[in-house]
This record gives sequence, C-alpha cells and structure tokens, in this order.
Amino acid sequence: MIDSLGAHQSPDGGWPYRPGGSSWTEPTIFALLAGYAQGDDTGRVRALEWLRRLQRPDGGWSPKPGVDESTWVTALAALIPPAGLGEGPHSRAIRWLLDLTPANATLCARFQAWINGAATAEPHAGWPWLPGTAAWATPTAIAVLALDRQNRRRPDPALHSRIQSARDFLLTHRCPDGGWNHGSAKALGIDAVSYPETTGTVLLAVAGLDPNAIGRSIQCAETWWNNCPSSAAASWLMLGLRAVGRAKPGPPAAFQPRTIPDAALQVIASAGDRGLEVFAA
Amino acid sequence: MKKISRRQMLAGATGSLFLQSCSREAAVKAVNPRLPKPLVSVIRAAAYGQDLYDIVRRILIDHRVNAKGKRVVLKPNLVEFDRNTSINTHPLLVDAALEAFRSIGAADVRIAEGPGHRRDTLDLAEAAGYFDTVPKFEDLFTDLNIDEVSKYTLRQPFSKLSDVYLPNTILGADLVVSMPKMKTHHWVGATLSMKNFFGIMPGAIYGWPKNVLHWSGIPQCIVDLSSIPGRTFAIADGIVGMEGNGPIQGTPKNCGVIVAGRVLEAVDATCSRIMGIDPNKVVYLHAPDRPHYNDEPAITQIGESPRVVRTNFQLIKEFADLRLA
Repeated sequence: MIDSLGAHQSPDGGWPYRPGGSSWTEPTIFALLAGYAQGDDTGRVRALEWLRRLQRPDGGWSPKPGVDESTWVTALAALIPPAGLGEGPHSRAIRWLLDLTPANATLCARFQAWINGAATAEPHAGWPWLPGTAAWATPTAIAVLALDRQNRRRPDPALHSRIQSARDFLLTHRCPDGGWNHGSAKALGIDAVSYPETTGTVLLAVAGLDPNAIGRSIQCAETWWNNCPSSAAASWLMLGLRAVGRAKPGPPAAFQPRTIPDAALQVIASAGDRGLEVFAA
Repeated sequence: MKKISRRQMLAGATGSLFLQSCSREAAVKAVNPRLPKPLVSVIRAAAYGQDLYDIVRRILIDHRVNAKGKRVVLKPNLVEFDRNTSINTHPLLVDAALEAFRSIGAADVRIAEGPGHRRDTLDLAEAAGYFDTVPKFEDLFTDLNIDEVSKYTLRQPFSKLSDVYLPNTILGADLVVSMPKMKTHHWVGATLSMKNFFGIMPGAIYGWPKNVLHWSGIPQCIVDLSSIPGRTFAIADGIVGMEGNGPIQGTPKNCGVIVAGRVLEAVDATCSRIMGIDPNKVVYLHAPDRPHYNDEPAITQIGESPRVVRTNFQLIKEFADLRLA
C-alpha cells in the first residue's frame, strides 16, 4: 500500500512507479496532478524542474531519463497547467501531439490497406502509445483531455478537428457492452469485452458528447463500478462517472493502490470536482 | 474464368516470396547432427494437485538443471482477471516450480510478468489466485511492465526491432524459466514458451498492448525476444490449455500434460504436436539462424510420447491448415 505520495518523491524531484525505484515520467506527472487536485504544492517546484529537464528537442517526453524516444506520456505532461510547466514547454507538447499520426492512419497506410483490400486502415486519428504504431484507447483518451483543455484556453480549429477525430476513434472502438478495453472491440469477428479502468478513462474523454451517444457507456461504467477489480479501475470510474454527473461518494475500501500512479489517481478521484478539473477543466 | 483480385494477386506473390525465403533458410539451417538432441519431458498431470511439486522437482533432476547459487526468474503467462478461465498459467504450477528451484539451491527465485493488456498487474495476479497460492507472493513478484530498464541491442534481429529497453530483472537473471499456458493463438497459431517472452517487453515503455511487436512482425519478434535471456528453461502448463480463438477468447481444453525442457524451440515443437498442430507450419518455428526441431526424431523425449498424449486442440478456420496429419 502506498500511504503518502510526498514520502516517495525521489531526491531528483521525480517519482518512481514503486517505492524505492528511479524516477519515471508517468508517476511524476500523476503525483503532480494529485498535488494540484489537493491544492498541495509540496515538492511541486522540484518535480516541475525534473520534468522540464526531461523534455526532448522534438517537444515530447520519454517515459524516463535515458530512453531516447518521445511517447504518449507527452499527453500527460500537457495536462499540467502551462503556468506550472511553462508556456514554451507546454505549447511544444501540444504541437508534438498534433503532429503525431498513428501508423495505421497515415495516407501511406490507408493506401496500402486499399491495395491489400484489408480493413486495417483507420479513418479516425487517435494516438498511439509509441510513434510508429497504431492508436489505442488510453493514449487517445489522455491526449483528448489534454488538447480539450488547451482548446478551452485558446480555441483553435486544428485542435478542435483533431479532438473530434479522436473522439470518433474512441466511439468506433467501443466494445459491444458499451465500455472500452485497450482499443480492440472485436478479435477475428468475435466481440471483445470492456475493462473497467479503460471504460472510466475514455468516459472522461467523451463526457461532453451527446448523452444519447454515450448512454450505454455510462451504464457500462455503472456496472463495472459494482464489480470493480482494482484501485486504478475504481479511480478512473469515479472520474468518468463524475464527469457525466454520476459522482460516487468515495473509492471502495477493498482496494489499496499498489503503485505511485494508482495512489496519485486515488487522491485525484477522491478530490471531487477539483480532481475532475485536473483532467477536464 | 474467375477474376483474381489485386489483393489475391499481391497476397499470392508475397506468400510465394516468403515460402521461397523459408525453404532456402531451412535448407541452410538444419540441426547439426553431431550435437546432442534436446531433451523434452512430457509428463502426465491430470489436475492441479499437490503431485505437481514432485513432478516439477523430477523434471529439474531429469534435465540436470543446475541452479545452485543462481538468480532464477519464473515467467508465467498472466493475462486476465479470472481464476476460472484457462487464460493464465495456473498458480499452483508456478509455486511448484518456485519450490523446486529453491530445493536445488537457487540463490533467488522470483516470479515476473508484464501483462500485455491490463495495467493493474498485482490485482490481476490476486484475482488469478497467485496471492492465495504462493506464500509472500507480492515480495517475490516483479511487474515487468514497470521494472527498471536497460537498453539492449539485438544482434542480427529477425524482426524490425533493433534496440529495445528490457527489464533489469530479466537481463540480470542467470536463468529465465518460461512458464506458458498451452494455448492456440489467433495471430500465430499457438502461444507457447517462446511467445511467452512478449511479456518481458515493459509496458511503461511500449504501452498496453505492446503494439510495436505487431508492427515489427509477430513471428519474428517471438524469435528475437525468446533468444534474449542467456539461459532458459521451459515448463509449459498443458494440464488445462485453451483451444479455438485463443489466447483470450478461446475455450478450456483438458490436455493433462506438463511439457518441459531447456530448448524452447523443441518444447514448443513438442507442445504443437500434442495439440495436433504441425510445428513445420508454425511460422516462428522456422526462423532462419535458429535450429529447428520440428521433426519428432530431432528430440529425445522423456516420459510420454507426444503421439500418445496428443489431444487435438480446436483451430479457428484461419489456422485449419496447421492441423498435424
């Protein structure tokens, strides 16, 4: 069990996935976001400095120091308010996201799919975990949240268009039960089932859509809420359901966070509307 | 006259080129007949019971596995939140392996896995029965998805991968024991001890799923990743496997065997034969620069003959032609 986030901040300013490990981008950002949700700025300056040092020349972030490729964690970094991250680093993160097209949604991939008569091309542009690969549910949802926040600050048709395309991607990759798994609604024509954690994450990203479009997703999230298997799943479901007006009183006691990101997420989900604002202000 | 679509034409051309390449490589890379044939154990086990502890200990003795003072990592296949399906390697077999390696003097035995779709690995392991079965499981377990990593350069990769970041738990092990569930697989026909190494790719770098492996060529990545650990052993859980649309959506298949050995290709070829799958038609068992053990005489079997325990696993129509004659 992770009882205190502050106690696990590394001397370099970042946070590890598990107590005692080295600093990684994802847990550092989740710990920072937990601080924003709680209104607690302990360790924030050092963490932001660590994060700014890690930004790569292309504007993205790698998962940890020493890894030489920018990945989806750039979307997480873009969730940090520009006033904290810095206007320059934040706008370069947004640009990196806008410039990233999943490998199966490029013009070349679509042409190849047409030649092969295959249905592997993707008409809607979500986001991949890693450049050069296909789009999946979680990185797409996090990028939508980041770009949507930016578009509310500074409306931009390019942002709007990409957000819309990504939300279409999420809706077309919804499982028949109404929720989301990693992003594959069928395998060889057989229906796949959703996961609670991804259902909560994506619901948060599509919460502003027409209720008729996401009604069965809300029902699916409610069903998962009553059958929740982990702390992370409960936190994402709390956030997603709060975003559609179905706030839950608190996380189930049965599950304790096992990683720093899970612990941070529980803090965010338990912070009510302030927690929601971290993702969807 | 029937028209040929551009897809059929291109598929035919590509398939022809691939087959030419395979047959050419296979001819070049025959097993050296002067080398000793690999041993593969096929041991009957009707159910997940206490006899597994003796069975696994006997396997290590039969194969003269030297783990004295070594760091051993057991790598099960842990995929989904359900102890009642046949998706995950059964925790009792993993505990039996843990005890067996301790009994032969291993300095440290850890259990490690990096699930491909689900991030809450420890919760998944708990739901799959690992906490109830393996004493002090959380202390023994490493989530490879969020382990510390080091860069590793693949020498002469068969896939498009070149440099990869891998968990230090795997790179620092003296012996990695692949413990797959014997399952059909909807992309490559069968998932066994070699394919099980997909779980060493850290999700924190590559995501969930580890889609870079699909883009780099699944069969080719199976070959590359399974050749990374210096020393390997395999103990495959074929007591209840999965047939049909595996590795997740298939149905349980009682097979009643444990298959084990040092040479992963030989173990997988044996498992394939037991499942009624022709190993000569499993693409990743045909890799260039790797020895092939796809013909039965190339392997010294211990225990049961694969022919005797053969239990045809149902194959989806896309892989119907893999059926062993």
